[in-house]
Amino acid sequence: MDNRSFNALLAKATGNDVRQTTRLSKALTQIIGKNMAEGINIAVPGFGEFRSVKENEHIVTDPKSGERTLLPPSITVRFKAGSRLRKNIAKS
Amino acid sequence: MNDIITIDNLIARLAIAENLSENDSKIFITEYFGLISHALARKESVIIKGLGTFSVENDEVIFVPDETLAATANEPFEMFSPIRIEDGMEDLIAESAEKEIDKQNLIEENTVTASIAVPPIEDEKNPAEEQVMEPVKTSPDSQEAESSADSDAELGTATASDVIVEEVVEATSGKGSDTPQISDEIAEPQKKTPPPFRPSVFQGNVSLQQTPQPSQEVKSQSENLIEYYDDKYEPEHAVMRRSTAIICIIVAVIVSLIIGIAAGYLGHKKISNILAPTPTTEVAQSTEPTE
Repeated sequence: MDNRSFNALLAKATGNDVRQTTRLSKALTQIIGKNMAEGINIAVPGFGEFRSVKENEHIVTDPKSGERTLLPPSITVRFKAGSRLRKNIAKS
Repeated sequence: MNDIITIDNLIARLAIAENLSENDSKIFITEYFGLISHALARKESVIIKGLGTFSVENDEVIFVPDETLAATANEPFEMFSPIRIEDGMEDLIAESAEKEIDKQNLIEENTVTASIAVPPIEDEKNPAEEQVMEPVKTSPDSQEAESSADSDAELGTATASDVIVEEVVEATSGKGSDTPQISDEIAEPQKKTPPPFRPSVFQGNVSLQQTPQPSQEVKSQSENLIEYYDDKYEPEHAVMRRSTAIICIIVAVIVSLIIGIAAGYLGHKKISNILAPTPTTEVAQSTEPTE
């Protein structure tokens, strides 16, 4: 399912028009991103949990050239499926 | 451990951000995640712009975050960029790390000496001593002595009791039949007069009644350590300052010597002129008539 069909289905389900749904969807992803930046996880019951995983600055070595580089800290967004979602997937 | 917000918080935030009623916001979020989970239950992948891609592989949900989401999440670190480490930089990093390690060792030494020097209050110590002594008398096993040590730690007694326990453990591990003597040895420090406090060298025989005023001595010792540390790691600019001062003194001495010699020479000339003046015209005139 691509983004357009997802928004269309969501608009139908919520009773909004597609433009408003797209706007709300964008706002929601921004809220999720900001929470991830602050290191706050988001738990959605029945769906799963978005986790903010911070990796501290570290030095990596290129195995070929032997060059060493100091990488800055970074945050990775991970998702862990909830038990109900996993059960639904396993059933189907 | 990260903080967690629930869906209610998310609903409230979306409602505030988009001027929605909480009910509308709740419907939207419920449908949003409901649609994704339905699609995933059908093992269908879902691509959402700004969030990422959800897919199912071997009954496992795989989420690949969108670039926009990754960028938003990494906003606090966007000013940083990867730095290539040169050879010289490595040495600098290692040097600074060594200094840090030395500093930490010094701090640890200080804390160890301070913990030894903490004066235990006699009234509070007595029950702890009894707890140490009792298991030794009844059972000489070192394990029980250790458990008594643990009980001491739980009671929050000072480190001196731990020292006694260490003595007990050493003695019991050496000879099992010497337990009555050990209990006597433990009892002895109560009768003895307090020995002089020596915070600099820990010899493992610290009695309970110690240190009339240890905090000052510890302070002075820590000051000494800091001075030692300062001397050890004398900064380069201080060395430069000292060498410049030495050079200035040498130059000043040389200049004063030259001035002294010059003044002496001139002064000597003047004095010699006064003492033995050069023949004047009068002398010449006085000699003329004789001719």
